[in-house]
Amino acid sequence: MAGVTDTATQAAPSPDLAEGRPRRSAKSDSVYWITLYGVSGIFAVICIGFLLSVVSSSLPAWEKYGTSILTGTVWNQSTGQYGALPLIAGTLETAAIALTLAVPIGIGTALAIVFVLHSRLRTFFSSLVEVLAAVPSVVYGFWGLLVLGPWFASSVEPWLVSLFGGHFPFQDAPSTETILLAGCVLFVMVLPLIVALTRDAIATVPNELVEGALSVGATRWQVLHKVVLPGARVGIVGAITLASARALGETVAIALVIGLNPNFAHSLDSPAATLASIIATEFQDSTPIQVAALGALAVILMAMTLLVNLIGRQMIRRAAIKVTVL
Amino acid sequence: MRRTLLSAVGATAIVGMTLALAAPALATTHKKPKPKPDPYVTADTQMTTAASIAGGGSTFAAPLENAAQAYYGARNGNATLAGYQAVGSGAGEVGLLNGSFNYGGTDVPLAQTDINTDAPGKGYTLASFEQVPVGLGGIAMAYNLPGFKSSVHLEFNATIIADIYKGTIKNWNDPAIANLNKAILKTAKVKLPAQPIKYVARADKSGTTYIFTNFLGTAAPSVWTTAPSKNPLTLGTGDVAGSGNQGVAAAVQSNAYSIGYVEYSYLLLNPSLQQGVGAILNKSGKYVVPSPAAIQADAAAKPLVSPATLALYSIVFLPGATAYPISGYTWAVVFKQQTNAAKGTLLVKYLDWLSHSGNPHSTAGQNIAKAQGYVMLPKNIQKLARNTLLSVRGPGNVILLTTTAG
Repeated sequence: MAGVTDTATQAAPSPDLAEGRPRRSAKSDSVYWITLYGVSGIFAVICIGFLLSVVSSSLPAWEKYGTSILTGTVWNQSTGQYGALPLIAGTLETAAIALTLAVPIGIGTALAIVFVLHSRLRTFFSSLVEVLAAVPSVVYGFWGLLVLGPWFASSVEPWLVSLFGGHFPFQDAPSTETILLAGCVLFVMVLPLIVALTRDAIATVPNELVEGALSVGATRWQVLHKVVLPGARVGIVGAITLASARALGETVAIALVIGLNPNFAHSLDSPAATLASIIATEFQDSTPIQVAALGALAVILMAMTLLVNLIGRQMIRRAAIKVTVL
Repeated sequence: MRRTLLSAVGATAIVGMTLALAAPALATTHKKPKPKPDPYVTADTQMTTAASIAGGGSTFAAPLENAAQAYYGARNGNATLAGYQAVGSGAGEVGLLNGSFNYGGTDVPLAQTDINTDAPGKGYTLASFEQVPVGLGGIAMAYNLPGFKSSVHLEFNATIIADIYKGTIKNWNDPAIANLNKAILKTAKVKLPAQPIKYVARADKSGTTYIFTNFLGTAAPSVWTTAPSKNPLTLGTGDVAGSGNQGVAAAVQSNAYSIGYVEYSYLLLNPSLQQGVGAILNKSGKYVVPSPAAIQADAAAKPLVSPATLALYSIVFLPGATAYPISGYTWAVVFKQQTNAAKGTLLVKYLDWLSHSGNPHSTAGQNIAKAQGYVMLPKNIQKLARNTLLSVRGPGNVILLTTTAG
């Protein structure tokens, strides 16, 4: 995220040590430390307890099915087959569609808000972005089902099918619930997030750098391209990381629009399923082994999100080192 | 100015208070017709001691239970109906066995294997429970074919439906469907489109799927070889699953050239689904469209229904010229031996009221079921429910049910 550095390790100087003040008793200091250690301990217990309980709920499934959960290509509760590969693929595909659309449009919008727009429009757009970022995701799913879905099915998908001449990736008869629709609903959901965070990141680029670049004759595009974006790189990577985590884990909105078909999506206009949507729909009334299998899906999802976060942090660390100064 | 405003406010307040105090008096002067005596709800269902019960289980029964509990509880001072949790049939049985619920709602009657899994070591057998049918529903095959009028009911038999859901029949203009519907298509002057069939199933575990697969296995056993089950069905590449009956209904409505199975009440809730409703072949060789009368005719064909085995509680594909073959009950399960006299009495009174329909001047549970889109239990099944509840005993082996009405 913007500003993730190591400054948090430096403790603020205690006001008691300011010149001329009498030092307070050591007792209040120890209460202070005990409270802080205590609450951070509670935090650690909750986090670790949560992670352990999710993993332990899935153990019966790992024992019974082993790695076939990760490599199996059939998810069928009636025949007792629990291969999560199509679900993993579906999760990654919808997130990929969402990010491919959201990252360029989001960064472009943020740049426009900071550099191009008139100040009144800027405030309006900023507020609009904040409002959209706060809308609950189920509302997006509802809108996707009622508004975007029918429009896609009647206009967009037939057009895409004819555009590609019935070849991949639009070779199937159009459905209303498709992986493309799910990806687009996700795109609309993560776009405000990327715009808001990128705008904050761009705002941290020192004005002197921008003005300095302009004063030596750089064009506006060169300033954006060589000064602003590299300078905001840390924040932008953080924004993309957060957006991917949200896209990977989105549940209800996707469940409404993706068709809940746990097979590999044959084309972009066929129904599919994601890890989160399957967990949410199939959970009720499950037998113990089915619950464990869904727990295994939860563990896989957590691992994916963790991996995305780690990659993001690694990229932030490297980006923070390379700061291009004009 | 200020004084006028203050006096206006004061005057309004005085008038308002007067009206509020006088309103009850004013109301009684206007004669309201006395409500007709409601023998079913008032006399026999009233409790003399206070008690509270709660239920949980099948989502199919949830709309009925929510409406019925509210209605019953409002008219019985000592009875508290603490709600029905729609957690699914399996969870309902678990809740009953561990004491969270006083009665469990389930689409598939309790079996000994369920008892052994959910309450091991307690020594319960099927004889420890009484199971009462409280709801009756049918499953409609709804399809979405552009250009087909709602008056055209395409005919299907179990073999064709099973083949569709196995992916063997892939297109709408398959010879099997076309040959069966030759006369209908000719009269209506439409042709079956050369489009792939998109079948819609349930994504969650459901009693509707259980009844549907039971029908396919009973009427087309050579094609549908798997046992009936609540688990989600296998889907092909283009097929869609919906969450809940509403999800299936929405998917059929929005996807052209699709077909799906929905609870009959959802046809009533989604009028646009009525564009395409299938007529299904029953055991007497007739093609029947779902309707309350047809579903009741099917249920009435098996008066001695019992929760003991699938063969005994299944009412799919029964003989009867007007019977609709895809029908099923939803059940309420209670312990035969109740440990608390007051709770036990309320339980049997409530379930007895729930499983009966009132005479023309009263309202009982099945009248409410009808309003909620269910089909009223046939009279012989209502009698069966009464006789079953008469076996429920309280402490000291006392028969708890004393209702004689209806």
